[in-house]
Amino acid sequence: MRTLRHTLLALALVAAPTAVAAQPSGAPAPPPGEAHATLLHVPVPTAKAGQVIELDAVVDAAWAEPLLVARYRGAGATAWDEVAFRHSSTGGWFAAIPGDAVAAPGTEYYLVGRGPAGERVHFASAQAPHLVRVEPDESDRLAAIDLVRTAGRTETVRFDVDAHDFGNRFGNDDRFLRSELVWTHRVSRTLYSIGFGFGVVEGKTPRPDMNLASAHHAARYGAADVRLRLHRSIYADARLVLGVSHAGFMRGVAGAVTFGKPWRSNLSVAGEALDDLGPTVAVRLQWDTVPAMLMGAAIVRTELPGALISSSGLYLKYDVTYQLEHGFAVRGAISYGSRDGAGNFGGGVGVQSSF
Amino acid sequence: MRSALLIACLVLAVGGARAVADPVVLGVSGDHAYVDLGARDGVGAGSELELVREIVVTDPVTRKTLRDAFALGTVVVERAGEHVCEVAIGPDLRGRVAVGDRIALAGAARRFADPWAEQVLASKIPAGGGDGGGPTITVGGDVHASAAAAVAAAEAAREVWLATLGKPPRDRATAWRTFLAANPGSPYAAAIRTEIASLEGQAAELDAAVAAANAPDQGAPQRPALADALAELAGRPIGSLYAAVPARVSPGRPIGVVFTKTQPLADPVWLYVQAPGTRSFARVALAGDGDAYLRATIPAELVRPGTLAWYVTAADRALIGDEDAPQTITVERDLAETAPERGRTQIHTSLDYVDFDGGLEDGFDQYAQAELDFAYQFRAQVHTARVGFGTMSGTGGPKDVIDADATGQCLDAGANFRCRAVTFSYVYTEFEFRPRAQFALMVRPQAGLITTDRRPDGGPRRCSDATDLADCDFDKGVGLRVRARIGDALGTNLELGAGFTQGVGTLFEALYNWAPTPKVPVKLAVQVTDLPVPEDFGVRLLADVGWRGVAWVYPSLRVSYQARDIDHVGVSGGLGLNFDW
Repeated sequence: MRTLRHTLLALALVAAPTAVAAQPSGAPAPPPGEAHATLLHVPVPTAKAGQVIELDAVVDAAWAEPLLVARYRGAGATAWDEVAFRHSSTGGWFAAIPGDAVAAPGTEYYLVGRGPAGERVHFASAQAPHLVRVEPDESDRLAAIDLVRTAGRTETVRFDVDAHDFGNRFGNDDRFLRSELVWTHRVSRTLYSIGFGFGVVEGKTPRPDMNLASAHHAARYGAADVRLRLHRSIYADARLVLGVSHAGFMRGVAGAVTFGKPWRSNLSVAGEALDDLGPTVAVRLQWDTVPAMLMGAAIVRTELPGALISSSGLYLKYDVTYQLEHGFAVRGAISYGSRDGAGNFGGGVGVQSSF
Repeated sequence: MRSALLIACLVLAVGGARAVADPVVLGVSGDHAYVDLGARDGVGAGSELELVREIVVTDPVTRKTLRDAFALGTVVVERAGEHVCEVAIGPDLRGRVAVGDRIALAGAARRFADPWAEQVLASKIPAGGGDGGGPTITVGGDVHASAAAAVAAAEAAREVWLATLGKPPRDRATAWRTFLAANPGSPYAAAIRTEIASLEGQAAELDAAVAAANAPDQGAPQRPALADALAELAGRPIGSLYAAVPARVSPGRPIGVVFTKTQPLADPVWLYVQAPGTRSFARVALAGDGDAYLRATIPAELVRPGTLAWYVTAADRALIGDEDAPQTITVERDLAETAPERGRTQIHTSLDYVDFDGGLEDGFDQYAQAELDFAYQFRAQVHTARVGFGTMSGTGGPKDVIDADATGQCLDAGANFRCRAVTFSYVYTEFEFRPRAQFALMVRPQAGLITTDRRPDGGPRRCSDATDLADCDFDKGVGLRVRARIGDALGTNLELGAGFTQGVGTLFEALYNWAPTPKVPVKLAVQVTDLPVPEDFGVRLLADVGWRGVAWVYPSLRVSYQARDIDHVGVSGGLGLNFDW
């Protein structure tokens, strides 16, 4: 073996004493019958984005092709880069495709050798390269889908006004109006979005003594929102509310669990508790079967605006959001329900812009 | 001998390119290096040489070029020819010796004989006294002439030797054969024949190496040693193949698979692939590629969420896995969002008037029930979710009292008013589970407010609207309704259900859905209920017929016959409006 190596070395020195300069792809192939190297490696099937792809090979008759290279490119790219194989003292040949060329959906490569007579393909080819798949994890895949769905818009500003008049058998006022301006930033990961908003509640609610006029209840608050993606189809919302009400400093918390994607058909269960204004719970079904429209039906039980006579405020609410172009959407809602006495109507409007 | 020839080759190879200069390292191969020092320079086996690396830098101030040399270490000559020697690189210098490093004899030069020259000399020894075996040159007994002839013979041989240097072994052997044919009496004939044999052996070895490298591509390494080297690098193959197949992939993309062969495979090699959810394997041809590879692409249509099975065979011989124990690729769930599908949403409204005693507005056993609900088919674990709002408003009481009171005022024998008006306003959420295609289970919790008016001149709405709340009761009612559907949800099916609401009543029902034509959906039902107040059970027989003139909406009309006994009977009806999106 050693003698053979010496012989090959001598022949290499005699036949090709200088290294062959790197040639562009398309160099002439050696004529048939020319001596050539044999390169064996186990092709790399998958890689992680950003990580170097190590190519390990063994080569026979390397003297015939003094330069062995891996040509690579990100999938979809047109230009090839190349990296030369280096001979290790342990006997193998190694080349490394740099991490910056490794990204989803994959990196393509093929292996060629260059000898005095030209270039010879050892594995795959420029026309049919081997694809090292870069499989994104579920979070990456969902984020990519989100990016397409939102056309890259990560910010949403929405303004909503909703009101309901419960009516009252004694003719007293029992109604509320709530408006919110909320800015949401979408991350599209497990932490799906964060947001902040300002809200206003204005309302009147009957006193226990029906002969007295209804009490004026109100609140001004700021709210911090966080939405988490617990599962690809389960989302959780949490909200912290701080503000001031007709009674003084006001705290509040809110939360929701949405089964299904919030922008598709889903079922959500939500709750909110505000100092001085009382709790609210709701179940809402949303569907998207009509193009460009999201419709929802919700059952809402609420003490807004801080009911003093009964906690049984209950209404059914039907809402429609219509998606306009360029990230704009408008919303309309109608509600029907009662607290003490016959039912009455309410409704709401809203507008939102994503950019 | 061959080493000497090798060294000669090396000298020839580099000699033309190098002018006379300090001796340097000519080449490095593993733990050996070749140096242009030889016996001519007093270097031989065992000589110590000092490696020196020359550093050339430019003084940044004076711009002068500065040179200096640093000793790298000492190496020992293993063997040497006339001009070149081979040295062993010790562990301390391994990887640090580079071509071009200067080298110098560490000790004093010694005298070494060129093995070729020694052979030539030996060949001159007269027959019987040496191993040359050739004839002694004598020219008529003239010693001087004989010596001159011997010198001429040596010169002739030397010229041929010089001419052969740097040429392929076969050319050199040919040159020597030519010389021998022309000079059969050469005193070096024996040595030359030995050299020819050696050269032809080398030529054959080289020819074999080249032939192996140029052999028609069998798709496998030509040398078993190469497969062994790959095994050291990448671990043992599966049989004779290394598989480059991803273990986990996302769906909908074709999968390129590659197998590296470690030995020739004469038979066609096939990849068998079984898509998730199918029972048969599809055969995919593996195409030869490059030096020793087989490649194929698993079509995208087979890459569906689940477990994709595969195995490889050559003819009938299993190479990797087999049909009973295949290899697998996990295909991840498809996360892409499908377009909204029509036909998943229903809005259902109904208004039903139920008269049990035939008295209509003047009777005491009637109720009206209205419901509005929204349903969406998720077609997942929860197949359908439904939220709704309803109100049931009516009057009821003991049927015996109602029927027995000839005045029609629901007074008992003691002239006590025994009927009451009830309004139940409720909301509900219903979840439908479909464990089988032909079976569904629907669970509907509901809750609401019950308003009861016990005043004889009252009615279902008085307590809701009036400020006089005497004889009004307000309670919360919680209930549950469970239904099972057997059959095709969109075609003919049978529903069996039971419901109970605290303070309101109980309902058992059997409902038969049927569509004699696609445009005419029909419902036939029988109900057993004590609504609107929990007193006596009655039976309802009802028929509901719709007209689906367009796909997304259909109205329906229903008639019902109900009775609590054969004399407590009423006929009534209702309306429905259903939207399907």
